[in-house]
Formats: sequence, C-alpha cells, structure tokens
Amino acid sequence: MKHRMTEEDWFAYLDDSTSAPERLRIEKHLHSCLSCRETLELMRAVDGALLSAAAGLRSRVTVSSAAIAEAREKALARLGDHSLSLRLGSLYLLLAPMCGVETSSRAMRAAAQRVSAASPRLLEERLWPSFVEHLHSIVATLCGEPSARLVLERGMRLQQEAAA
Amino acid sequence: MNRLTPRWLYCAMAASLAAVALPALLSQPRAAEWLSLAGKELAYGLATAFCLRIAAEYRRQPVLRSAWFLLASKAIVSMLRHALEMSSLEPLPHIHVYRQISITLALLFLLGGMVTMAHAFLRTGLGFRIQRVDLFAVALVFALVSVILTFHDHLSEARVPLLAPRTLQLFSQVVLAIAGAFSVILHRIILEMGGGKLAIAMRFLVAHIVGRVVLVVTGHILWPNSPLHPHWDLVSRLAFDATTWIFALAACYRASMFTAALRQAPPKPEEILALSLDKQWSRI
Repeated sequence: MKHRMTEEDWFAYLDDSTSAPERLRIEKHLHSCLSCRETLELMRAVDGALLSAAAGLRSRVTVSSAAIAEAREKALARLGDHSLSLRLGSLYLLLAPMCGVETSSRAMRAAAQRVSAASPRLLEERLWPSFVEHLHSIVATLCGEPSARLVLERGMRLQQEAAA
Repeated sequence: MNRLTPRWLYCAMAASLAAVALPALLSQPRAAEWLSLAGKELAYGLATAFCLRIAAEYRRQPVLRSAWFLLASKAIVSMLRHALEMSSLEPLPHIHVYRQISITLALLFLLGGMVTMAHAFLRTGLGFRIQRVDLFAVALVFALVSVILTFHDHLSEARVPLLAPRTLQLFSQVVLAIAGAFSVILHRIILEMGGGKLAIAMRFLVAHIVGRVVLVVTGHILWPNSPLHPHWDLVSRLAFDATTWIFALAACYRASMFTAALRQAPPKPEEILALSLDKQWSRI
C-alpha cells in the first residue's frame, strides 16, 4: 500500500467511520510505515488540541449546552470507558506535578499489574479499590504519606461519583 | 514553616551572598567571615527543620524516614562544622581534629541519606535503570578524587603535625567521592521521572553534592600557593555558601510538595480530554 492517504481518510480513520476491510488495510500499512504512523500521531495531536481549544472558546462563544454536551460525549467515547478514563486521568493529573509524568505513568502501570490487570485502562470495576490502594503505597514511598493520602481520597471519591 | 516557600529561600540566599561579598570586597574579612557563618547556620537550620518535617511524612516507610533523618543529622553536624571553621578558634588545641571529625561525620550522614533514598526508589519496582553512561560518570568522579588523594600534599590539613586530621581529611575525600557516585544514580532516577516537584528537590540535592565535589577539586587545583588565590578565596567562599543554600532549597522543595498538591484543584473534564496530547499518558 502506497501513501495515498488524504486528510479525509485520516479523519475517517480517527472517527472510526471507515469500513472494516479498509481499516484493516490501513492498520497493516501503519504497522510497517513509520512516516504514516507519525502522520497519524500528528493528526491525533491536532484532534486533541482542537478539543482543548474548543474548551477554551466555550467561555467566549455562545454555544448551546446541548451541543457542548454532545461534543464532550463524542470526545469521551474516543477515550474508551468514560468513567474509567476520567478517573485515571484525574489521578494522573494529581500525580504528575508531584512525581513527574514518567513516574506517574509507571506507578499507575505498576499498581495495575499488582492487581493482575495488563494495563490501567483494562481495569475491571471491582479491582479499582485495590488498584488505588497499591497506587497509594507506591506514592507513599515516593512522595510521603500525606501526598499518598490525597491519591487515596481522590481515587475513592471518584469511584463514589462514578457509582452515583 | 508552611509559609517558607522556595522563593523566600532564593531571596535569603541572594541576601546572604551579597552580605558576604560586600565586606569581602571592602577588605573587611572579619565581617565577611561572621556574615558567612550566619548565612550558613541559617541555611542549615532551615534545612534541618524541613528534613525533620519530611521525615515525619514517612510514618509507615522506615527506609525513607531514616533517609531524611540522616539528611537532618547532616545539616545539624554541618552547623557545628562551620562554627568550628571560624579563624578565631584557630588557637584552640586539637581544633583540626574536631573540624575533620565534623566534616567526615556530615559527609557520612549525607552519604547514608543518599544511599538509603536511592535504594528506596530503586526498590519501588518502577523500572528505574542505571545506564552505561552513568557508570562512566561514576568512574570520572572516582578518577578526580583519586587525583586529590595522590597529590594530598595540597590538602588544607596536610601540614598539620597530628596524624588524625590528616587521615580524616583523606577519608572524607573518599566519602565525598562515594556520595558523588550515588548522586549520579539519583540523577539517573531524576531524568527518568519526567519532571515534577520531587525531581526538582532531588536535583537540588544532587547539585549540592556535585557543587561540593567541584569545589574540592578546583580548590585542589587552585591550592593556597597558587597566584589565583586572592580571587579564588572570595569566589570559593561564595560558591561554598551557595551550596549550603542549595541543600536547604532541596529540602524546601520536597517539603512544599504536599502543600502544593493540597492546593491543586480537581481537574476539569476538558483537562483530562487534553491528555490525549500527553505522550506518557498514551503509554499507560
């Protein structure tokens, strides 16, 4: 497969609106083509930047709240399981300024592995409390008890909110 | 203590260094010496308070609690060490022995703290790995210190008739080299952390040790009989004073970590959505 991808093709691929055989062909090509993988990454980054820019514009532009809710739902759908992604993202944003982005992602992966999940994104609901407990113990070693307690509290509160 | 932010410490450091430089430039060495002592005592006093507060945060982690207790002990012994280094104490008998004992003890406490901290971080199982370039850096540190040990006639206590201060001074150079080697390991961990307040605190700790090693090595090259000595004296005094503040800053950054996290508001959904731009996040 040659690099005959248009912008529309990329957006269709990112929006998951391509046909299954077409998608398979693109993925096969991406597997072997660094240049296309980089393009895809760039498109994803642009997509993300547009989302955050839209969030910034919200305060200045009058958009119906239904439209905002719909756009947010669409963006969340792309992240996978809404509730889990939001919870993980919230914990990551708490940890990263303290321990650094790399340590935070490593700590979250390590905590997930300790509860026998291949990755934090694949956590089952029932494993969330033990995942948070393990993350708490890792953070306690790195950043001390009070900071780790913040992680524990936020983790538990997020679960309660998700359940509600 | 909560109100003492790193910004305050930067201001105190600048004021302290200026207070030392001014009388030194106006040929008032006595005043410069006293002001330098006051600055160092203040810096180490603050560092002690911060270290003890951090140690209290590790109630269930005895390893890291010990690490911060060791660093607090280093700060306390350093306060004594700098007081003993006053020229007015020169006529006292065995002053060289007391000085070298305090220097060696302070370095041993610092080394203990570094080793314990590096061990605790490596034990978390987060995959921090030492690389080949780090081993080269460690070898370089040892090579530099071995040069000092070979030409130990240039050391400040080399002409003291007593054997104890001479031996202790040589021993303290070895301890400093080992601390330098561990600072390389800590530096690797810092690089792998990807930012954050903890990394800043550890970077200052590493800077404190590297600063000491550099000062010892350069002091050895520009030894007292060198023609550069008059200029070197003020520069080295200011640099040495700065390293004490750097140690205090390391403890201050680490102590302020929890306060900063506490002030952090819960993220908005938009912020979480923007995570798609974060490379580390996509690797989770």
